[in-house]
Amino acid sequence: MEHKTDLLQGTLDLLILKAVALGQNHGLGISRRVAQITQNAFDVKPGSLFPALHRLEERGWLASSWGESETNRRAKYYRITKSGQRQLEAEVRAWQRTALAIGRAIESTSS
Amino acid sequence: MRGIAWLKNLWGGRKLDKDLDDELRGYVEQLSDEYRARGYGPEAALRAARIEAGAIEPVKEQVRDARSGARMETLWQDVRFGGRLLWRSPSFALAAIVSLALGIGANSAVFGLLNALRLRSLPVPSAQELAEIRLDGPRCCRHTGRNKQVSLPLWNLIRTQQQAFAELFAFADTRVNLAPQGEVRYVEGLFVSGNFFQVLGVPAALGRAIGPEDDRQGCGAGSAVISHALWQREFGGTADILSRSIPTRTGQIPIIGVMPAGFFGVEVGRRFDVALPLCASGFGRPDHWWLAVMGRLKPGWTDDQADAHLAAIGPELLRATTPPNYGAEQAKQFATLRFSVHAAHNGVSPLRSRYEDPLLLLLAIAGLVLLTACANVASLFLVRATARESELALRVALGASRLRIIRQLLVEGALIAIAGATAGLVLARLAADGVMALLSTPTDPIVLDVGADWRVLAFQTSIVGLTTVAFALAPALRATRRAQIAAGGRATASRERVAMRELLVAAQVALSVVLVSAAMLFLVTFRNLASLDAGFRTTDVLVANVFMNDERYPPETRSAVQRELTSRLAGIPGVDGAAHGSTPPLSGSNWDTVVRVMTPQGEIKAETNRNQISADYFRVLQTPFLAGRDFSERDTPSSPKVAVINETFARKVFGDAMSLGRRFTDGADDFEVVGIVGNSKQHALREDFRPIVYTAASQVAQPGLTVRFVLRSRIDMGPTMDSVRRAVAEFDPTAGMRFATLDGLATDSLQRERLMASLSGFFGIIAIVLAAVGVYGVVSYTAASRRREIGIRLALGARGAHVVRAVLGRLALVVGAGLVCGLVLAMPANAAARSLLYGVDPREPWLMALIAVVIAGSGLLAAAVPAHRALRTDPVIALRTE
Repeated sequence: MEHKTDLLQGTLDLLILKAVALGQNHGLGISRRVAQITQNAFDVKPGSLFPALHRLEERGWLASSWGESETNRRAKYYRITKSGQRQLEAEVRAWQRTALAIGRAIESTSS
Repeated sequence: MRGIAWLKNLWGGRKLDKDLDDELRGYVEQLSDEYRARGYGPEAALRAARIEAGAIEPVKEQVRDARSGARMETLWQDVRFGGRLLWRSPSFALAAIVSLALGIGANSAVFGLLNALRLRSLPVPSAQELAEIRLDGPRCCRHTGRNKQVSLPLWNLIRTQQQAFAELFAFADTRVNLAPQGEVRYVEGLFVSGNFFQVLGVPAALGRAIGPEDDRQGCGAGSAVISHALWQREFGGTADILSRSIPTRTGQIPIIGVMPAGFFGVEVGRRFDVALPLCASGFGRPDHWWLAVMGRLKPGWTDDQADAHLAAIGPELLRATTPPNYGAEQAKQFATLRFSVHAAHNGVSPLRSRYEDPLLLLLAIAGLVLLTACANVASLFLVRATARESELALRVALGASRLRIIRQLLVEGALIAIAGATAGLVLARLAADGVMALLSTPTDPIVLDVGADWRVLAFQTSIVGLTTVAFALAPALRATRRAQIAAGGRATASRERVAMRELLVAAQVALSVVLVSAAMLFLVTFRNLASLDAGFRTTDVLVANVFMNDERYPPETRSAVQRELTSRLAGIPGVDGAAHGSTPPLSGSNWDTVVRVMTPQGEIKAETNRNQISADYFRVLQTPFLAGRDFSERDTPSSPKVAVINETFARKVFGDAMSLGRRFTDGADDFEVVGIVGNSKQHALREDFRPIVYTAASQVAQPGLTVRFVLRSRIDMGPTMDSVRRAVAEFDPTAGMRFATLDGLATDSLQRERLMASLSGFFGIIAIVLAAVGVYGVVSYTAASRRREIGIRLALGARGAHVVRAVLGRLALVVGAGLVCGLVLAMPANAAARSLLYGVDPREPWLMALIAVVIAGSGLLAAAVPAHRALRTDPVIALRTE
């Protein structure tokens, strides 16, 4: 149970970092971009999005500033920091290893 | 980085909250912008955005929880919120705080005393190394007492022969008379071996401590080290104290040093004022038992190893120091004595054996008081939780988690508990001082350091924690569960909640039965002891000890001197009679001896008390003569020895209440019984009557001139005391004097009983008051919640009695159940206190009945007010309010 939660949280962090790495954005924009890059596989609701954003910011992987949205609304923009970039790379590598390992495992079971 | 974020969260909480609000509002607005772009109208867009975003408040809560330091932040919020709420309901807060302050104060006071008496280490370096050597065995051959264990020759042998201790020292307590003549002024004194201060590791604050060089044979009056307190009190803290000396009746003793203020010696509960080297005592006889021995164990030695070692070498040491004047029988008994070693990191104290059990019992009693107080506060919290039901329901509906609300309620509880504990600490300090004043007597001052240390603080903290859980957790759990239900619909009055309060009231009643029964038993014990027939009348008797210097009077004149002084004192106006005795009753001294009696079956030995008295002694004390005669002038050293015995001696030893003319011997002289008197107590009021033989002081050829007078006075004690003082000074200007009243001695001998009676009585009253408040609360609540029903019944013509029965019927059941439980609990509790009681059966039926009546009565009284209020309910108003 514990592991599953960790994995999901880790996945969410990875997706958010990836989305922000593509360019700074506000909360709604980040959630839309996650949907876009996962081809609508993930729809991040505010209840998961905002706690994750704040957590990542507190870790120092994201930085924020206030700006104006496309529709002239005051919005909080997040951008990735250097350590966030490194964290993203580390998580991507870890994820690839996991995916590879799990892929192999699945293949060996089916053969 | 993380630490800074944490701090920022903690202190910048408010700004972060506003940012979060803005951010989330922005999110919803942007979402609505998207809908507008898709062609929605402004309002429809906003509505659609809100639906998509879902509830925003829980999101905020989640973000706050995600931030580190969130807990601290919300805790601080809870504290502020709780503080505000309590401030706004001062009567609730006050009732709760006062209840707890009483409970916590009582516990802390008793614990503080126990801690000071039993747990606290001596204020010397490496106190854990200290151990004490004692000599246990038959009382036969030694006059032992407080710290009186070994003789000087025995001490010298122990010191040189033992291997277990790195260093050993000896000490003995004594009193030092600061008045060169006239009425004596005693201060607490201490004879110490030369290394006493060195081994304890306590240097003098001024000058030097007594060292080995001061403790040598032939040191005369010796040199003195005084306490800081005496320096301030007697010498005004003068700087030239080292050139001053202590004036005594035998000469001046130079002062060589002043000890630091916190050093009281090694006996807990006492402080010495003057310390003198052992050599200054002049006590060197092998049958004089006056020294206590302590020391530091060698590294690696345990108390048990040292104990075994001392036990092994003991017989040899005893054989070498057997007093030469002992007969064969005594010497045999003496050889059976055994040395033992006991840990002494916390010093020594005879107070321990006297007060440890009473204090433990009082701690248990105080614990029950605290439980009662907790039940009360829990009851208050329940009422409050009911009143706040809608508020809590609203918070649940807005998305607050149950845990969060429970925490909020617990924080409120903790605030109350901390406030109660703080007030309790102040109370405890006052109470502990009061108890010490209660225990101290002029001749026996008790000074304990009851200040807070880590143990007291740990005790306090755990009490606060436990009480918080005890009184706040259950109501919190219940309130939040109800709030969750209520969040769904409208709350309804609950039978269940009343049941919980009733349970608390029953528990309070049960606890107060236990407490009140303990109080009653101790009160009865005290009354029994204070009013019992001790065999003498204590009122109007002055005890005057007169110390004359034997060397001023040639031995053959001393008898005449005693007689002359006695008749002068008897002639004082207002004095109805004067006599003297070697051990007046309750004076603290006791002469145990063994006499031999010839019976038809052969010689038997009898243990008995002995008292050497003058004529008129019985008349002054008003001890009745059952047969025979008093001593008189015809009983002289050269006439046949005569004795008066008490009834117990007659019955136990001679087996016959009328044993005039029978004879016994004390080993030196043969005595003929010429009188029989009623029984009287000698050492303590609590003791059973023991056999006593009285012999005539007038038959002793060369008596000592320390004379203990008893005088019966017709007038006030004050003027009589002045007259005696003048008469003695006229007779011998160098004589010392000390006064007490027999009433005073009797009172002082009942300190322990008085302590138990007054404290347990006080606790019992608190318990009754708390239980009454509980009853009042539950009845008010029931009456209020059934107001509508009562209104209807009154409107339909119900009689007042029926309404009262409706309100009180259940209460009677609750109180009754509490009484029964309490009586059942009280039985084993009271039996545990049996050894502290006197002349009362712990299960005394009339006492238990009285307690039940008192508690039921006070409960009824507490219920009467709200019940009466319910009767006056105006049906119209009652029906409208719903």
